[in-house]
Amino acid sequence: MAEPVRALIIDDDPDLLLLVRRTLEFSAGWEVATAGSGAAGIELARNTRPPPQVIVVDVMMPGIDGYEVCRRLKRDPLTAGIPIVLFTARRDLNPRELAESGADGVVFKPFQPAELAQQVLELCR
Amino acid sequence: MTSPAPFAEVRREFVAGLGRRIETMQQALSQLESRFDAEAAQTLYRAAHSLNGTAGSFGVEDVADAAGDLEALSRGWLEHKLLAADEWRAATAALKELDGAVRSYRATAAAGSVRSSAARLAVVGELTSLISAAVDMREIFRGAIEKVQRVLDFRRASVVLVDHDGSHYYIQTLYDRARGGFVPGEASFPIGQGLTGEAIRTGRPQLVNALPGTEGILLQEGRRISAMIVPLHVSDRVIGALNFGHEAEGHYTEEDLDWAVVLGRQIETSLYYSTLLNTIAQQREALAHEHATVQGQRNQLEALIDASDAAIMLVGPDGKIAYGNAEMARLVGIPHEAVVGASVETVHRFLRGSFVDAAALAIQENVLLQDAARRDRVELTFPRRATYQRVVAPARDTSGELLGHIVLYRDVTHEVEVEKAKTELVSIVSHELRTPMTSVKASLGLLLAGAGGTLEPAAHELIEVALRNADRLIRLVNDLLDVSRLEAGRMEFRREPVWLEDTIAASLEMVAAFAKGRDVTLRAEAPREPQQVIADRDRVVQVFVNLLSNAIKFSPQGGRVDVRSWREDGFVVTEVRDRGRGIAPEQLKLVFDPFKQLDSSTTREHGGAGLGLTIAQGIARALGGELRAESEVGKGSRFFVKLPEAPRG
Repeated sequence: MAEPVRALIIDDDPDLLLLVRRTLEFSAGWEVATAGSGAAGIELARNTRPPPQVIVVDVMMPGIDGYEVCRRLKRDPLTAGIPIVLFTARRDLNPRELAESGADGVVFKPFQPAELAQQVLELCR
Repeated sequence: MTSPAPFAEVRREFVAGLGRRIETMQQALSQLESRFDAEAAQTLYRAAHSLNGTAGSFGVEDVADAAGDLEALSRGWLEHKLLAADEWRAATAALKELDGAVRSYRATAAAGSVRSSAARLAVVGELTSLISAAVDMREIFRGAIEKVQRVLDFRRASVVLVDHDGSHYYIQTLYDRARGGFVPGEASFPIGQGLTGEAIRTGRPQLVNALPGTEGILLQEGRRISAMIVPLHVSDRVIGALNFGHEAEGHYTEEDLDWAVVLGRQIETSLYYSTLLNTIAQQREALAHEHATVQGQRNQLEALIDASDAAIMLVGPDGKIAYGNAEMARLVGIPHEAVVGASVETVHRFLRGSFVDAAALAIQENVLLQDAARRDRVELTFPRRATYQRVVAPARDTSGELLGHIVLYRDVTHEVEVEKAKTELVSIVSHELRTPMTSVKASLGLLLAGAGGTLEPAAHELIEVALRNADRLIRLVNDLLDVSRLEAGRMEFRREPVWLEDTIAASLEMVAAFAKGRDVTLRAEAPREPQQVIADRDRVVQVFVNLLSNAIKFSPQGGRVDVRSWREDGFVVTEVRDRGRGIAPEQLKLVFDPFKQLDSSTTREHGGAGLGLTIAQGIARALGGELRAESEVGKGSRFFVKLPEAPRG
């Protein structure tokens, strides 16, 4: 059996964080770490050994938002290689902001629990 | 070097000898009446021949012509040695004509120092007529010099003008008889130089009869000459001078100078009118240009107003319609041409029947008498039943002068319908959402209570998440319903005297657990006397709970929220104060705006839909009160709820 995928989920809504974690653990057997804010997420991404293989980050968060998390991680040589997927309920994302953030893809809420892991992996390819 | 005989003396002699010459010719002609006499014919011929020549050289054409006739007749008689009676009669007529021409010439010609006043007056009169004929300066000067020649003896005459900065004067028109008339002269001299400069500086006429001639002055090196200089004024300013020069010493008298001054005055007058006419012409041109510009702008503006789908009119301060577009004519129901100039009373009379609410027209009549603007919505039944956005506002020009009032009606029926539809949609959707949500909530609650059997801890955790979010959704739906009810004015209120202290206590109790969980102290200051407001108790509690929840949410851990109230001008004001991070001024304007907060991340952080303040303000206003906020970043926020005080009995 293949090694489980190591993922980091960053979202300020604790309920959602719990549901995403359970979804990925239960449906795909991933190893999931979570962070409740942009700042905590960046910290975790830099200091986890071995580093996460994929990061899923909520766009709208107080303080450091998803775009900013993306920009900072992509600028840092330590984390620049990790694929990042944005997670949002909004269908009207600003395409320029999205492109400038360097994100690898977007997953829209509400998500289908059974397809989430597959969707994230496809976007990271 | 001999100088030419002074012209004036020759002419003086000529004029003086005219009478004797006429006498000689009359005597000779009378001797010839009965028979031919060679000696008399010879005398007549010589006198006529001589006069023809001299008069011609002085330019006195009519004298020369009559003398020429006599000369021709007498020569014939000498050749044929006889004369016919009709020829003698013709000669008599010619002599009579000659006599008349000579008298006329003597009356206008200048002869030595005895210059005829009649002639001078005649020239003054002619100069006056020059004024009305000539507008160009050079034309005036030339015409004046030509005419003045007849009454004033000079070799040279010139008009000099002061240049624009007043430092120099230059020759504008120069007449020199010795050089055959007007000659070009552009020479410029410093204002401090010469007699002309002095006349210009002092503004006083100058007369000199022994001026040392130089190369520059009449080319009379080494001789003494005569000169008169008359300064020319226009509107109290010396603009130049009129110069006369004569080769002979002692030529001009004080009387000559007086005349020169009179002539100068005439020229001044014509110059004055010339400048005036020029100025008027320029002003007219400028005005015409300005008028065209203004007209152009006006046309553009009117085209713009005409193209507008709003009905617009300008009511002048005189109560007449200064402007009205076609749409306004349609609204009033009169032809477009009849709108402008109609009295506002007439327009209102036509409009009166269209108003669903007659009071709406009375408001318009009132605002037209005032200096304040009013915007409102009115219902009209003509030309179709519609809701109009009405604006009545004073119009001012750039200097602030009241031009009248702008009255504008725009059909907003469609907008009103869209607004109504939106509110209804929100209301329907919210109601429809509540039913399934209630089922979801009830089922999840039953599962958690063990109605479906014992739950594994992981299952329990997930159902708790579901139940929390179902509650959140129900709160959001309720808030949306409240907002849409408030917007539509359909929220129902009971209005009764309510004890404020009791309401505050109830609200504090409802948020006590939330405050405790966040380690926030709630402190209510007891009022000095019981306060009663006219309100709906449950809705007031809703307002306070909203404000208190917000205050707790934004308070730091261990913070404090204060509540106090006081009476103020027929109202009771309650203040809810926190010491949180505060709200920036640009954000403060938006806190009561629905859906502004809905998107903001702060709502999720603090767990709410972001509609609480919108609803609280809507309720306060619906109850005849107000809700406003003050805040300072870093120091916290203060919300003030104002509610009408109950009558004290």
